[in-house]
Amino acid sequence: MSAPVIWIVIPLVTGMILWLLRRRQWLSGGIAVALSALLAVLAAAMPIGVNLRIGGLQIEVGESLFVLGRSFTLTNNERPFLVMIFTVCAVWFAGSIILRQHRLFTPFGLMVVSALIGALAVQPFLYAALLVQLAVLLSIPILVPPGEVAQSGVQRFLIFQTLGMPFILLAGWVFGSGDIAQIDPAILPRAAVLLGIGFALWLAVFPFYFWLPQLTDQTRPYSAGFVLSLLPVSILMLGLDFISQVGWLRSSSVMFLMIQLTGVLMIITAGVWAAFQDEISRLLGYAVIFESGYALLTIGLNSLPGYMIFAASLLPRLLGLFVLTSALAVLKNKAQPTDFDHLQGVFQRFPVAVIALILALFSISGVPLLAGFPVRLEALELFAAQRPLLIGWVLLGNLGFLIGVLRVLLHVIRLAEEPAQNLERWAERVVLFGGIIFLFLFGIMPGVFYQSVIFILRVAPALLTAR
Amino acid sequence: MSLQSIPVLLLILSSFFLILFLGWRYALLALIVQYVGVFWLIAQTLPIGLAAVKLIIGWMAGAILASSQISLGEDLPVSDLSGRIFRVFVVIFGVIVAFSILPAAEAWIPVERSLLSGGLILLISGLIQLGLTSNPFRLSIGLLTFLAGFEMIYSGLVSSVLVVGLLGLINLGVGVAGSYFILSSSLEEAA
Repeated sequence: MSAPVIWIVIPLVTGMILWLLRRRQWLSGGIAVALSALLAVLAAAMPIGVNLRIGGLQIEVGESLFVLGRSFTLTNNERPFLVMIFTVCAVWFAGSIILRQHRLFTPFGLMVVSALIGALAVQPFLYAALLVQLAVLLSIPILVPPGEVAQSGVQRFLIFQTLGMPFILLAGWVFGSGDIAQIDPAILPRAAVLLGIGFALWLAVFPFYFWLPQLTDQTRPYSAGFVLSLLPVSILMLGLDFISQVGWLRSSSVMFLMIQLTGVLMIITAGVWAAFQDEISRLLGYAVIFESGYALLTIGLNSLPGYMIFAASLLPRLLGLFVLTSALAVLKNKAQPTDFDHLQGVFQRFPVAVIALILALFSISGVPLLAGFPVRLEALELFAAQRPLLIGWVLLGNLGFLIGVLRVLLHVIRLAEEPAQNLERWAERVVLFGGIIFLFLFGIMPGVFYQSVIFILRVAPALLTAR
Repeated sequence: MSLQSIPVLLLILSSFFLILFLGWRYALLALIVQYVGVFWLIAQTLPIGLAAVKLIIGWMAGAILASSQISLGEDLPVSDLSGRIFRVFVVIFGVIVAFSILPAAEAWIPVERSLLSGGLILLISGLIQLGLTSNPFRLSIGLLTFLAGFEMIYSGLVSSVLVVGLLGLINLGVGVAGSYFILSSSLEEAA
């Protein structure tokens, strides 16, 4: 038994089996939750590459799986990331049962996770782009369930993700083709540009992000939230792995400056557009752009504290998006429009969902006492110390996003003239209350939660030596 | 004119057809010709078996898309005369761009000239198709064209069985995704 079999092949095969069981939604959902939780526990408890004795049974979990002459390798360095990703999956799959998502959500969700972990595990790393593309293709049925029209947002999602793949493969060919010292020095900056364009297309970086608000507006929010939680986080980790493995990239101060400026630009534009947004579903798209902007900002610091803040910020990012999309899913399940013209009385009909929605958006904005605040504060402090002239622009983006959230708040608290019936189910409230509690717990006791997630940086060990 | 110019001409011809004529029959025919050109050029660098994989998968993806379009039973939107004139000029412009960036691309990417020129033509043709349509069928054909162009260039750089297999899977995936886009609204309700 090898680690890639456990964390890549088993989810993939289970996903295929669950597709056959898709009509029994509770069963397939339950299996997906149990498997994800089990794989998270195994990743936390079972060391890779050592002999384990369980009673009289001796098990050795190998690191590599060879396929067509190439290897998929998972080491102990990847275990913290596996714990995080499968815990996230267990939560999202459990939520999908309660929030009554479509039948293809869990089967394809497992397959997407399998492809993304395969991308992190494959050696040489230039093949990762192909597996990310497979994950993108597998996420299409999650975003567009049968019976619904595939609108322009999803089409553009597929186009932009597909356009990104060749750039990464070409850059991977340059950086992965043996000793970097023997490569023509003029080629390396060009390869870095290709790499940058590829990741910009994948991560929906400015100016390639206009499809993102369209996607969140035109698809089911919970499905979009799942895909937009897993995909960018995995791609960011892949990017860190890439930087970690290529010394030339690590030493390129221009590249880190570009990453940082791109992050700033994303925060500003997402914040400004969010301030003028009249549709909450589209605000979800801007929230994703805003979060990615902060992720790039912290990576661009190219320092250990910066990388640590990046790793720590993944938890509030994932939690914020989960609570936000769960709240939106509760509203959308009851055919509640989410544009500003139709929000009167929504608080009376969906009180917990509205509170969860507002708190999630406040958390993403970085309001004190909520999950996003500690990491936003740290990121801003670090950035201000490094680039004091640019901090004002980042704060402007923050202010814009906050104005967008305040506008949402002003519209959702408008009461209907006639008292409306509460339309939330108790199970939905449990999910939302759970999310709200964790939003506060993460915000009040950040050290407890964030210190453990920092270990995911082991995926890119060379970065841990950054000053 | 050398023998290697023939597949490049086939690719230019197929690009003209794909961009100019919007019916599914023309598109399928052009796609068939396109993948013959791709196979011809790729067979110079990859073993013939691996090159044949690209040919067959390309045809399969085209067939999946065409059959989905037939199942839908709706005609594709047609272009009027002014639209066609515009498209002709766009394709001519695209081909000129492909050949004008060829010397710069050669300095970057060490692959054979015919492979690179064919690849660039398809890359640009794919991008033009993606830019001119929002129809799922046309969009998928555009993505397949773009990917075929990239695969031609990449096959001159990397000749791994795993890469060929995964790219084949992606091509097929794009075909299936396109088919799903075409038919998703007419499929059974999910929940």
